[in-house]
Amino acid sequence: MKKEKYLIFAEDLTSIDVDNVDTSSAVEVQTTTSLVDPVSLLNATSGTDGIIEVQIKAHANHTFGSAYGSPTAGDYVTINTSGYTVHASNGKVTIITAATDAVNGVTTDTSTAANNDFRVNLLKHIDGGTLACFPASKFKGMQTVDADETDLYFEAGTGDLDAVDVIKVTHGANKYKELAEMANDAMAPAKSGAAVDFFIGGQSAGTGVDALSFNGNPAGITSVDIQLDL
Amino acid sequence: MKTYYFSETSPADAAGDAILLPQSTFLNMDVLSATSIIMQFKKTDGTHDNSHITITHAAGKTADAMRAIAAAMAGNTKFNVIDLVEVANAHPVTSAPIISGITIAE
Repeated sequence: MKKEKYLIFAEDLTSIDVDNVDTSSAVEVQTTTSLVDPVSLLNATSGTDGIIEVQIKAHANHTFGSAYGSPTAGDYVTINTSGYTVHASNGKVTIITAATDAVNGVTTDTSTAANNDFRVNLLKHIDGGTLACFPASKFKGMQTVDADETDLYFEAGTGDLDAVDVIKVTHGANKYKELAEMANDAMAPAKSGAAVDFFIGGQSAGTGVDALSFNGNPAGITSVDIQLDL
Repeated sequence: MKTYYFSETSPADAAGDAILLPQSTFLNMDVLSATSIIMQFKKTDGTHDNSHITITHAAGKTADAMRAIAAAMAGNTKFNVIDLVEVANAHPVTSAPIISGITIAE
């Protein structure tokens, strides 16, 4: 198996809304495991490294730094990475006020929590079980779950012979055969081996990250769920 | 037989410093954090377990690092013993070498 193919799968990048944040004493946005699990995977450079994007829903009672112009109330505005800090380990994002940074800062409504809604978008895969790569030679088969879901099986990364790693693929209705052909084409012998982006989930919120898929995505894959044997 | 060579130090001169693993024993790669991914291989001692290599890379470059390693594993080479980190770092996924270190767990 010198000309091996390596199939890469990634789940959709997550996003969370943190609404009604009380900013009377500090402007802190606490991320949760719905965004990244554990939140301690975020650290002080998560913003500048392009791992997260922090947005605020503009409100008339907010004061924005000069970098943002005059946002329309109700629109989500992406805060520049200089406009917030990320705690070293607890997943907390602290927004810098416009009084402190007149360019990148944002001053929230310190009296009405309901006016302070935030959105945090993950831009990179950083937690286990969200991005994985398997050699085609360890593929064990695929089976329909229902009309629009199929499980792909690979030998378990744990080395357990009685277990498998599963990629649950959500695809177009009744597209099992197209998915089978897509998988076969991705793994087919060729003159040389290759790394294949079979499906790399993207980010639909915020400024967005496009999903990538193999061969024009004939099966209409919309997402994958990586279920690793642990 | 194609094999992958990993070394934590150069020269490798102490127990656990280096390991050579056959391509056929590679099982998968997974993400550990913003700066690391794990490569899992069938256990070298023959038990139903794994040996793994933790790859440390530039922050936020998980997918790029994974692609670079996969491309290095897939690439044609006249050598059967491949220093995977060296080859992956030469792969033009980014302008700079993407892998900064490894840790071997046999």
